[in-house]
Amino acid sequence: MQKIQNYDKVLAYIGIITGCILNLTLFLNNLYHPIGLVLTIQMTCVSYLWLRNHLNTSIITKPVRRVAQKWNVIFIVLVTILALVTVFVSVDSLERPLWIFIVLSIIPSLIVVQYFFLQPTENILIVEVAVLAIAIALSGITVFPHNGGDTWAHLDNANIILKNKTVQAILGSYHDYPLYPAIIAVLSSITQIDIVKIALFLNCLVAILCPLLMFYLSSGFYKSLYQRLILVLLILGSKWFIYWLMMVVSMAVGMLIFYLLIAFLFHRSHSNTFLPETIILLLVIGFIPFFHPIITMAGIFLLSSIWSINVIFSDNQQNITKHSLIGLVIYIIIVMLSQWMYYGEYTFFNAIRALVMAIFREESTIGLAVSYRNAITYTLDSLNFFFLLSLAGLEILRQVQIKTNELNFYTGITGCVFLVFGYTVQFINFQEMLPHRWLLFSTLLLVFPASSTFVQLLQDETKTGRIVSLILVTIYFFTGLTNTEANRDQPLYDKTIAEHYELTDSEYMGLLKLEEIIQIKDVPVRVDFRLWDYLKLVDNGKNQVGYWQKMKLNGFNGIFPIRNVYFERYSLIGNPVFDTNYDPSTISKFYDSGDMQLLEKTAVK
Amino acid sequence: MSLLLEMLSTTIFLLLAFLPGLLLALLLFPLDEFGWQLGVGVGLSLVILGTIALFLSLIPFGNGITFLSLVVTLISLNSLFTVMLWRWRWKIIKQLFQFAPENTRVNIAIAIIFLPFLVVIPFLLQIKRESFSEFYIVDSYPTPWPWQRHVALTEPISVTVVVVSHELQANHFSIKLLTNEMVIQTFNLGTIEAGKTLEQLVYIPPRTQSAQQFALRLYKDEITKPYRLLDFWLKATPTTPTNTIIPLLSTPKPFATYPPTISSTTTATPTPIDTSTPTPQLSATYTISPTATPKPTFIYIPTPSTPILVKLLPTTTTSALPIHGLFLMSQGITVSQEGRVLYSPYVIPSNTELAFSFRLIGSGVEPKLVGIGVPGGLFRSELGPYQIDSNGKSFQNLKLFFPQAGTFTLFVQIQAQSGEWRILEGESGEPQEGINIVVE
Repeated sequence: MQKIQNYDKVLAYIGIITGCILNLTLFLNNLYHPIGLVLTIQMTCVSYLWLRNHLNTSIITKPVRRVAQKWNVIFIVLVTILALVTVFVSVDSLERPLWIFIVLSIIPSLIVVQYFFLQPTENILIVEVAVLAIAIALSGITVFPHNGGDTWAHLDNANIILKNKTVQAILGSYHDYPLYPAIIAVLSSITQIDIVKIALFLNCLVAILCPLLMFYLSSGFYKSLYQRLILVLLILGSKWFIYWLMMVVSMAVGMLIFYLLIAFLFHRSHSNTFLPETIILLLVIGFIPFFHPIITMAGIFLLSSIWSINVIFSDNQQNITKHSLIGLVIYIIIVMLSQWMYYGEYTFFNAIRALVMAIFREESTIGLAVSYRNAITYTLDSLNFFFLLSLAGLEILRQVQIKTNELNFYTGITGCVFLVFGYTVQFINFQEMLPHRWLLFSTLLLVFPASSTFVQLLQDETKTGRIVSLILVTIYFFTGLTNTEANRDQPLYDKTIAEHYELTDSEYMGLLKLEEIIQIKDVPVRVDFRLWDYLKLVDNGKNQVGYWQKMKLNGFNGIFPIRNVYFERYSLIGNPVFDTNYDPSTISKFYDSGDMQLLEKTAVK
Repeated sequence: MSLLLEMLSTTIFLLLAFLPGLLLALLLFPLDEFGWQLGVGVGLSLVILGTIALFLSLIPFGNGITFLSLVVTLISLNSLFTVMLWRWRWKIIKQLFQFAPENTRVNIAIAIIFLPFLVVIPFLLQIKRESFSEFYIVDSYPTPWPWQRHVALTEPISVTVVVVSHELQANHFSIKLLTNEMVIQTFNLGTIEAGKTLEQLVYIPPRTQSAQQFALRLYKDEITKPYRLLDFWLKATPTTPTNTIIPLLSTPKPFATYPPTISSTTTATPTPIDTSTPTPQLSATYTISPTATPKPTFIYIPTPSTPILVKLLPTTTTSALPIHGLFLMSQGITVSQEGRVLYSPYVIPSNTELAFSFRLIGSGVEPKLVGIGVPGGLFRSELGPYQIDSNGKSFQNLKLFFPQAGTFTLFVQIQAQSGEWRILEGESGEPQEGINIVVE
């Protein structure tokens, strides 16, 4: 027992010492971006040594008191109205006003206040959390502009499936994992609802289901309703969760699938049944290789990490059945490789190529891993995640010592595995492994231990605990909602990124029209780079479509007049074929939908 | 009513889509809380829907992913799970419909709030959606599109423009065809309902320049700023009636540009700021006061200003001599008032200012001044000096103010180096007819 108690202290000291060395090294090498992360880990270790005894006090479970339910109903109405206002103001707005983020940060505090004073039932809390989830999802995804980038690609793929009645019609890398657009297409086909609306509906569904699933899963592990409430709020307010909800991408549903895996894995550890979960695990695992390779990889990481932890820390009292876990790991690897080799056309080749390139890359990989943001913005952006990481770290160290809560123990350590992997691929600039996604999975796991620490440090029966809880929840949501990575309208910074990559409805409509024109008429068309990026696919090698590389809009009635970004687009220089030192007398404009005006460089000299 | 039916059918089909997962969750987790079953069920439904899509795509028979195949598959799956549930979990189904009485009122209150919230959301998205209209050239006669080839100055050309309304409501639209910044045709399209499309055939008049810009402007409702803008350039065939190759203009008039400001998409496109360099020498205004001395006075006003009134003496004299080597081109004189082209007969009220445009072609003739007005020099707008070569030169916006009633016959005239004013002949050497302006 004495030996086990020392583990946490030893780890904390190692964390402090390693942190000092790492920070010094980073500082001397002028690498300021990772300093925030290292400092967070250091501070967590220091805090653990300071709060070690306090963390071991048990969580007080509040006795249920009956309060007049009409006040609870008033709170639901209030939360609903605030949510509707945030959605209404956000839809198609070029830039959300700051007060929207303040309101969205206040809603969770209202829910917590309601919990403190009105003893709402589980149903009331769940409904309020669902309303908040919908507000966060819709407020992010409906911000102007609406289409574009990956969102656009998926909607287009869904259209292709509907048109050709098969998932195999999708071209490009999504041919290998077509199930996300397929789900959108299927739902659209059955309900006859527009694809865009179905995509929004799916995001809302994910935003509700992820916290809902975890709320009910945690009931077997956490006795306190307060802790379960904090758990779902930590999920909803985390920047990576918000980030992946603001786009129509497969990762949104991927989060749900990941949580389904976690739910089934841990559900069977505390239920008497074994077969149902295994049946569903087999079904889900068979499904995910067709969904997204990163989610498959995340599944493999999750299962193998839990199995490894089980093997390392096994004391014959663990309920996770390790033999079936390794069976599932082998099963998922076989399914994934089979899918890559026998169905996929791109993934296997790309994965191997990326791996080889990463191994044999000659130039310094560290030098490549440079963020486009300055170190201060980068650190401020990460505050939300660092807060979560810090809380989770305290509980992980505690669980290393006592191992009383297997959900916290397993998810905490597995979350750290994802975290290390995510930062490693980011650090060596192995972008093919998409570091943001690993940080998302890490977040989805770390919320469990973090919720325990939060509730333990800020007991809901104390006045100070309540006040600090409210402040922290509000700040957590605010930093999650307003950081530059999780916003397409970038309210506190700028909206350049959204302008670069996304399309308004009128632009999207114009693009469809242009696609139609290209297929009917032999017209040389020059468009903006992002439109070209899409239209090159319908060009059929005729070189009809080109893009303006230098758009000297001053003195020219150019395309996309309302967007500042087009006045500074000089970054696409390189291909002399489309370099545009144009003469206005050789350009005709034959399409105008407002944001989008299509130009043709006439053939006549 | 139709909206209600639509909502009902959508709900039924959504239930059909999500029922397999829910039934499977009930079947596999009969003892868990309903929230857990719901969460797992909906999540599993997405997995099942994806698997169905994959299955329907990969099987060698059938029509792939169609409404019918999806509905049949889902009904089959739902039936299978329902039978299994009925057979093995009957007690669970009964339990689902047993509500705890103490929570029923609260749950009903929650439902009363939450369900309308869900219903309102799609309407919110609809109300705030981006509204716009498409404006594009769909076809031309003759083909291929005239801006892709050389076209003779007199070749008849027409384009078909389309307006597609994606506005939130019905709007009134009109189209104006402009060239050289002058409106030459206006089309009133009437009211177009949201979601409707309207086509309009536009005839392009004979060109006057070797490379001429035509502009189509769409106007919405009573807004005076153009809502949508289309421009195209028509280039003359290399062989002109005088067998001279007409190159492109060396300094074409630039387009307008928009200020780099952000505006809401629901408002009309901002008015372009004209960056074309104004040519002061083309903006002179001459007026003649009826109270001034009988001797004509010529006043050069480089920019528009308060009219100076001099006595107007109408005359119909046409006694000038022809000038060889400099001609008025065949399209004659264009008359416009406040940017709007007028057509003969030209009848205007008094105190009206008119602008005149014409094009001269010649070979090495250097007139001191070029003008338009009444012969005799009593009432004339003039500019210069100029070198006019075989490429020709356009003169635009020579303005005359007509303060009082009368009939005035105006001619394009030049002042020779000797100082003598003469009336120009037409392209074929025919005498210039002049234009009659009737001031009422």
